[in-house]
Amino acid sequence: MTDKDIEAKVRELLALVLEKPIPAAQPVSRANEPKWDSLKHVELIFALEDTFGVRFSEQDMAGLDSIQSIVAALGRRHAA
Amino acid sequence: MPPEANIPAIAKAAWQPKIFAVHPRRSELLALKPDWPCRPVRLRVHRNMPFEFVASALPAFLAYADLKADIIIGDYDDSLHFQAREPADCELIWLDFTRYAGRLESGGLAVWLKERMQALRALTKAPILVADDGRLDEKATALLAAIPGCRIFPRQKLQEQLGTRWLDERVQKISASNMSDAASLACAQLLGLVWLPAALGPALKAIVLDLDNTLYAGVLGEDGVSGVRLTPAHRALQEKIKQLKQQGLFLALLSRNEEADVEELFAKREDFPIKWQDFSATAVSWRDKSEELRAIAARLRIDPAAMLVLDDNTGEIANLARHFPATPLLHAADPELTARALDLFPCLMRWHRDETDALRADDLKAAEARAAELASAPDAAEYMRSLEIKLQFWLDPKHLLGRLADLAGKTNQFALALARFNEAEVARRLGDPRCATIAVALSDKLSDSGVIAAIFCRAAERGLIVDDICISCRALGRGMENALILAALERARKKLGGDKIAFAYHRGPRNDPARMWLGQFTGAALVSEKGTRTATWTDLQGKRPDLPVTIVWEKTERAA
Repeated sequence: MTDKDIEAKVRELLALVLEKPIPAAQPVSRANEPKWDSLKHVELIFALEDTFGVRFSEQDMAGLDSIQSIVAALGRRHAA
Repeated sequence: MPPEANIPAIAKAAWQPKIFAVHPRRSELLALKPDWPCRPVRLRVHRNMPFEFVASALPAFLAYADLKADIIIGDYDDSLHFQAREPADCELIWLDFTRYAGRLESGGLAVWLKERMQALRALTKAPILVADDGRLDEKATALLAAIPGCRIFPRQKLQEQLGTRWLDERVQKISASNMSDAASLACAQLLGLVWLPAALGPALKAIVLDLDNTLYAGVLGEDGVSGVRLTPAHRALQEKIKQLKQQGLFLALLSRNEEADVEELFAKREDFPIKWQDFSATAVSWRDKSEELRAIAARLRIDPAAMLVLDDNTGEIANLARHFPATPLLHAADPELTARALDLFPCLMRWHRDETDALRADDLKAAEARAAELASAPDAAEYMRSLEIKLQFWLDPKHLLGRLADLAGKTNQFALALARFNEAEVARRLGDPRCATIAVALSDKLSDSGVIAAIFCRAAERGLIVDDICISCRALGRGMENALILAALERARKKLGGDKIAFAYHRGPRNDPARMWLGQFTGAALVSEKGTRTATWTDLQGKRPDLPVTIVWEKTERAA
């Protein structure tokens, strides 16, 4: 799975969790998306773990605060 | 695109592996969007812990049950400080009971919870579900069970099933809850498929079964009686179906086969948990299944929408769905998944359970015997006398609350006004001196039908209003209606007084027999869809039939 594939899937999951469209090129982070609150964050983590077959640590979770950081974290695990 | 693609039953069949999964997946559930109409309902959640992870997974399960919920999640509130707000269709209490540890003395939680549920009951007549995490003891359970329309959602059973997967300590700091994703999804599945549909709609009454590749592996016409295989999964499925029969559901057989072959199959395959005599109706032929399903519904005296049909063939499902769009259809190609689906299928679990449930199958057989004997009797009146029909009446019987609410929820042939009073409203009426609520049980020498009628009256300025009359279809066809209703009204008048009696009526999809009865009873056919028809007690005396019926008034708390 390429980073591009991962990003597309992450955007799809984020759109489902936040119940709003996430355009392909738009940078999205917790800082600029009001609907991405702490509960939605946990829900997104659950959906990511379920989809990609990974498990994040409590420390990881706090850092997954943008599409970019999520794609990077998943890419690292995929490469490993 | 095949024409079946637009049929909800076919779309739902594609959802089944995700909806009935042992471990549902959040990403799959979030992507499920129904393209069929769903009934809007409002669920209000009173909580002191997050419900959001359950709420976000609920829509897919509710959509499978044809429901679309507006979920109102209240603020975090340990005190359950209810306030009168816009009405909801169901109230859910979602508490972390560990938060009360050390704050309430022994037994205090039960008493406090009962007091809070009574306060909520005073604000709403909607069903109340209290989620139990295993900390509600017998005392609490008993106190809550005494509140009309209040039930306990067994969250602790899911906790036991999931074991260590229930908890996820990683998310405690972020979400103030340590419930795992698996735990939230399991709760959403049980709430959305089982408990909310049971609280919000009428229960199913029958399961209609296909045979080949549904109840066993193989095709009877090709593999023969000894060639079809009862795999362990098929055995488990048959045992599950048999359990549902024991809980009061009718079983019917709908199969394209030679009838003689099928009878031989059930006679010779002693390893089958389901026996031929377990079926209350059978339709084995090469005719169109939709015609046969209609015949089964008529024989069972129930609406096709109250039957769940199991079939492994999507073509048959599509055909049945075209003729019976309101009939639930389950694609039963995988016996393991089908058995799991029967654990969770919407409206198979009854909100009200009573002893009448167990009487239905025997009562139906007796009704068929009665009809056959009456048809061949040389003297019909003498035959009716020989039946020794007995009607038992109760005025305001609190012990029959569940059954009265069950009857009031019916939309069958003899539901006159379709008032659909729920358990809380029936309970209110039972305690109201300006109301008279009457339950009627029917028996004869062939069967005990149990409580088959409910009559709801209230006092009006110069008489009484009959808000609804609900009679089970199992009791129809014996000409008992006038005797039964007049006896009930006589007692209602004794309690409430007045000479004028106003009968409320409302046309529904199936209640023409009730409308025709009221027209004949009061002397002129009903024209309007909805309204009241008034008669005087004196006028109605001429309608008292000369029937050999024994009428018995049983003592109740207030009728004694």
